[in-house]
Amino acid sequence: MKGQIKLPKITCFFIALHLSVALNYFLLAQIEEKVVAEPFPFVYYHLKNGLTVILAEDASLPVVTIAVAYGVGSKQDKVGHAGLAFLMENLMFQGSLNVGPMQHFSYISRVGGRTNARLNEDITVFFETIPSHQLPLVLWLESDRMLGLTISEEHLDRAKTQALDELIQRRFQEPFFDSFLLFDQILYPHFSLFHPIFGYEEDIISLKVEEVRDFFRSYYVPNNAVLCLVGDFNRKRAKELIEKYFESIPKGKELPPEPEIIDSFKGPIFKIYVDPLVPAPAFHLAYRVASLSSDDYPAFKIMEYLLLKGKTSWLQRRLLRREKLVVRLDGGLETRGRLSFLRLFAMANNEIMIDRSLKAIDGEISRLKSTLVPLEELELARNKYKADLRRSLETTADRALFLAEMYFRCLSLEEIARQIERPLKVSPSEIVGLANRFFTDENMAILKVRIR
Amino acid sequence: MIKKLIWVEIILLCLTSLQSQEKFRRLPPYPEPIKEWRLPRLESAVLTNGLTIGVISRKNSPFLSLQLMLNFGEGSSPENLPGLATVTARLMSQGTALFSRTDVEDKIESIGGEFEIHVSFDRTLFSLKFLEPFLDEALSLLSQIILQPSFPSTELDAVRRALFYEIVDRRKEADILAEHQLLRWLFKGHPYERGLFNEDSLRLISRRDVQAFYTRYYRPENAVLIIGGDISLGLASRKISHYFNIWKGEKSAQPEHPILSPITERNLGFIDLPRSKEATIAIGNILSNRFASDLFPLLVINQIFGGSPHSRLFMNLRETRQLTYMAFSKIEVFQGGWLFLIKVKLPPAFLSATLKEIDREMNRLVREKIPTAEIEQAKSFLLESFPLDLEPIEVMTRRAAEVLAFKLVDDHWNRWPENILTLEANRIIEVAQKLFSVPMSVVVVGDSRLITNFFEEYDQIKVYDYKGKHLYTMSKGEEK
Repeated sequence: MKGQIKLPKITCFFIALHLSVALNYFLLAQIEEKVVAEPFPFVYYHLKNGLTVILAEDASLPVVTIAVAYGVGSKQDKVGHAGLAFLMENLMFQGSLNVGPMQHFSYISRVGGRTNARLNEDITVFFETIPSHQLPLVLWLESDRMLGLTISEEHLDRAKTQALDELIQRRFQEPFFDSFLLFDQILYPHFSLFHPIFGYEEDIISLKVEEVRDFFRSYYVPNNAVLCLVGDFNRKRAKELIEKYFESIPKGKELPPEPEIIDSFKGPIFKIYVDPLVPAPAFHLAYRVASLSSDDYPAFKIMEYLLLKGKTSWLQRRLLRREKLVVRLDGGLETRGRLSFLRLFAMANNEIMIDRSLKAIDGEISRLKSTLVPLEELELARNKYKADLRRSLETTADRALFLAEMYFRCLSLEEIARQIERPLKVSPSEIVGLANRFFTDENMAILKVRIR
Repeated sequence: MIKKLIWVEIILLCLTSLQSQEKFRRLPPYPEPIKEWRLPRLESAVLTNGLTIGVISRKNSPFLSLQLMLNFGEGSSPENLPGLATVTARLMSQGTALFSRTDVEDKIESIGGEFEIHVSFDRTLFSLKFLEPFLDEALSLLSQIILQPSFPSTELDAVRRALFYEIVDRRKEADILAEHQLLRWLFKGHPYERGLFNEDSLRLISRRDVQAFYTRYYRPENAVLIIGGDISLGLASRKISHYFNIWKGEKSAQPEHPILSPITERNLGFIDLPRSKEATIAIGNILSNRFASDLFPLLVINQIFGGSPHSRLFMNLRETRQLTYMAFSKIEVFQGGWLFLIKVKLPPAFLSATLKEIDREMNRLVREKIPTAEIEQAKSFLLESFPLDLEPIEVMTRRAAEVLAFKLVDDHWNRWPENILTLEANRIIEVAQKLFSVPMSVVVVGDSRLITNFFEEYDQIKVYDYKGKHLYTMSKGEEK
């Protein structure tokens, strides 16, 4: 047609491409942001590549913490690969596209910051606390390793050495290490849940570069991660920077299916483990309780404080302070997969004390089952819980780690406040009912540790 | 023409996409502009009984931190009863006129509390952190502990026993052994020497000694009581007054802190710790605190020398020469003087080489001009990293308590950033030359079978046991 310019198809394609880029930038500015007020104010949104971003502002000190958590933990280790998730945590400090081995530490410490990582069955989280004006640096570092980690034979060997050193140290620090592992196997019948987070020495040694690369490509992707930023920052500027460094990281493939986990437990289980290297006789004891997602779980949180947490708890008071039956007593609630246990470990001077301790514990559990907890005892347990909760939200690092964990644990971020406040509303009658339902022989396991 | 346009388009697109991927990722970014920031305001007042009180504010903190700092410590224990200050402080929380030990423990937990007692050479600290709604309960409990301790005899044994095991346990830690031996030289003849007490003196301490020590020193004019958290000075004054106004002041009980002086000759010591795979070194001396204004330059010098993993010591010994596992230095401020301390952990085979390098670095500090860029970097580090240390409320409150106890609010706390920022290179170099021209003494702890090269290098090395008893002196070339 006269007067009209007919552009070749290829030119139309480029014009469309430019337009689409422009549109993307426009859409970026319009990212939907959700606001949550409790337990402290934060907003969250998702980048195009699936990365979830949570921002919590707090200008009380010129400090920020960034935590980048990936939805992968030791649960994803396969048989023969125990320790892969742990090794991966280590490798994340061995260098990436533009950062040399261990330079991550050096960049952070040079500006007076701190960095570390944590791993459990479900998540791996990397976090840094730095002076707030250094925010671009830490975003650059985290995005660089999310975009491309360097995984060569040399890097892997270095990571293996460090992982094995740490494994030896753990074993050295806890004289009852082997009995803890055995009790894990008793409680959790599935390999994904019972194998140690730090893996097995022979598995770590045999890991191959390609296996590690596959693991990284599968799980260390934006669509399996959350970035939590807490502290003194300008929200608009922080969003710009996060988009700059993270938006262009390609979305990963669909996540591999979760391992199929048999999560049954059938008690009562009584076992004896002989370990000539331990300093004194001891025992592990556990009761299966309601699972973390159940409405009954918050009552067990309060029971944990009533029975075990702090010097005023029933078991500490009786076993350690009053009757002096044991010299060490620790434990608490533990969840792996859909299994939750109230578990404890105690060490005594001799076998007689072990038997007396078990009887005393039985007595305290019977008291919990047969009488309503006095209100002042309940108030004490609630205050201890509240103090621990507030403590876990105290610093910017605490809050960033809390958000990262809650993101993977809660059904929605709006649910956090309700979930953490629920134990404070548990009534004495609820406790009696649940204690009778769950503290039974069928839900119990005991492992005695003898010197010979 | 159209073909040309297409090619230009393709090349431009490729270039832009490549550059946008690569350019900003290739190098670490510049920091954002630094926001102006001031340390939290520290307010104080003095009650009629002489007790100094203070408030350091942090909005929305769920906890309050209550800290009572007293300006005496082990240095005030009698010469024949070292350890008495520690035993007294610990026994105070083991029973009061109204509460037993278990009552005290229960009350602490009921307010979501954490309670700590710390006795150093020149200070005693009682620290209680608790949930914000329980201020009255916390003050009531602390006033019971401080004003009405009952010093139960049964608990005295338990306190002595616990302390005994702590002292014995500490002997497994090489860096504590090394530091304590160094301090034995540096504090020799000074009251602070009593802070290095061992288990032998504990059994000599009686309830009567504890009571006498308490009566002599636990006076309001020797104390600073500070609250950190979301609270005003007005409210804090009223509440503290209510619980502490019965504390009677007596001017006569002022603890003394004689001036510490640098030791003028270099000592070399060794403690054998069989089966220790690594060697541990403690090096140091007292630095003159005659001029309080030298403290800020000194902090910068320490940062340059060994305060962080980017300081000279760590970069040289660990990163460049790969001689050590870690190497740091620090400054400790006592009322009687300043202590400069270097701590190093390393494989035993590298001991001699490491000591030579440390000597070289010390000489460099005194003799060579410190580059301005290095000074500016150290100043930035100190300024920027300080707020990170203040995040836990109890740490911020403790810092503030020290500042109040040392009467440094105006010169030190309120002018902290300026005191660092305005330091000039010449002043820093002048202080380095003035303070560091003293010989540094050295203690090495390790397995004597693995540390052979150390004994071959030096003329005389004094060998000590875990309690600081001089066993013998090794001369160069002598068989062990």
